[in-house]
Amino acid sequence: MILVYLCYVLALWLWTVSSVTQEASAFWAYFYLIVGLAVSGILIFIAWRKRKNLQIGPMIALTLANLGASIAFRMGEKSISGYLKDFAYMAICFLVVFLVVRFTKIYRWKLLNILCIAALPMILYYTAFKGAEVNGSHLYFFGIMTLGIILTGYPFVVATFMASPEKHYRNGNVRNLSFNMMGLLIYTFLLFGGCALCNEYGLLLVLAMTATVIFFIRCNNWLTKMLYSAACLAGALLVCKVVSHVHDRVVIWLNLKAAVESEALAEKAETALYLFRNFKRMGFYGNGIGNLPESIYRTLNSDHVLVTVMNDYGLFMAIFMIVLGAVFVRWMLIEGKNMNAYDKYLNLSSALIVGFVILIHIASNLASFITAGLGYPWCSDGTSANVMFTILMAVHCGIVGRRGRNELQERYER
Amino acid sequence: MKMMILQLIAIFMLAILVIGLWLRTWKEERAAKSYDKTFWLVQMQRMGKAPKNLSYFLRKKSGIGEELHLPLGVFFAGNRWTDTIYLGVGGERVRLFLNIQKEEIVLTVLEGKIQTKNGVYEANKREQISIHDFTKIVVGDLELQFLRKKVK
Repeated sequence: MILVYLCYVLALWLWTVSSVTQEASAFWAYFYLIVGLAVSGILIFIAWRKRKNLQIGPMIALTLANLGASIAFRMGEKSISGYLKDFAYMAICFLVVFLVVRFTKIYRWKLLNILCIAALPMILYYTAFKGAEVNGSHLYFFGIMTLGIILTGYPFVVATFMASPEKHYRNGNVRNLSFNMMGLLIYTFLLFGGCALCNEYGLLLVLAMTATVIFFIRCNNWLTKMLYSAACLAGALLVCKVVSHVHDRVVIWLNLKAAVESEALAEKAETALYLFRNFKRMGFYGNGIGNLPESIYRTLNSDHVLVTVMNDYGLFMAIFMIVLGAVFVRWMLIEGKNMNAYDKYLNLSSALIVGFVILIHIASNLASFITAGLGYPWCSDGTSANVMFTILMAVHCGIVGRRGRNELQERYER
Repeated sequence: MKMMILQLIAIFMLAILVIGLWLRTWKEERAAKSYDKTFWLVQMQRMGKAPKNLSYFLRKKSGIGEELHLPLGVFFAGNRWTDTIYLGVGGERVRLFLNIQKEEIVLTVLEGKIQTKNGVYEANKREQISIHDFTKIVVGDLELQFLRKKVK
């Protein structure tokens, strides 16, 4: 496996550097990055040679990161140097989080979890009112994207609410919604408010989808489920109607022909139109690295990375990229031997978040859904998002990698 | 030509990598299913006021919430000390027959009555009630939630 990985790294590197000509500094940044990715693969292979289940996720991450590095090199010196820095952050975060989750129970401390619960809405509302405005949105909290912070913290919030014992129910009836489930829903709605104020609807979408799945798993009352679904639908329709840029994206998604003919939407519809017009030309082997015009896809190395891979690297690469994403989510959903309720919910919500981000990215890139502004894990440019995916992966590795008997088993054997 | 060969090598290697990782994930998924051992966890919560009698005092138990681990097998649960699983509910006699299986619990109400999501079940020795994961039943002022657990 490691030999195949190294061959892939070398072949992709040679293919990229022979296709795109960049400055010497960009070349060396790409070279150092490739060496780092190859060494990381070897280290993972050696460190977990007896725990092969732990190798899968990091190997997928490294494979996707190679593709991300190639796209970053295609974009220029600034982009590849940024990715090199991101890789260092990701490696450090992975190591620290893995060690903390694997060897300690700090992440389960109630005080820390309560602090996390309190911090997330505060960060969102602070960003909404005090954060710098970028294209009408408030996306950064002291230079870090709120999307990354919120999605890293949200699984811990879900686990805290869901793992606490159900003691109280609405109207004292056990068939009604429990107070902890209600707490999670109110909390999530509080985050929705923050997202709306920040004009960050991609984050809102991922949170809503994750909360819905958790809610439908846990809630027993059909009436509550129906009311929740109706509230979500009403909220989505309201956003589509009120928020202009979301409304435009919905029009482009549902009626591309009308959008192209409209003067106001013609420019915004160009990305979807380009895909439909050039899909056949892309072919299984692509048009060559550096072919996709940056004038049409301004976010070709972040929000539209799948289109870039389809156009430049070919359909085969794009299909493998999607399959790798699916395998990664499947790997994250495998439960470890020693997981308690907190770990299970932490793992489940992490997997759901990664899965929904991948799903939304694919759907919006293929014009099957509105453009949601979410990157593909490790392929897209974006420090916060990539670090967030790395932390969620490290949490899963830490939980699954824990040895020894858990509390439940010990009590059972007593 | 050179680029074409490099591209083909990269795609071929990626294909092998994807298939290898997918197969390994599939293998791990199967392994995760096979090493597990099922048992049921019963979480009991008292909805009313906890009794303050001598037995609870001596056993240093609050009488509000308890957890019980049930391995696969057959058990009698009721509100008498002679029952295998003691349910701390006063009032009329309650006696339940629990057949703990891997996928579900088959419950029969021998004496008294219980309440579930589907309604109230009176004593009927021939009636078998299926209890699945996360099912809740109410016996007197005691609420029992059944959770299926797996450990190595």
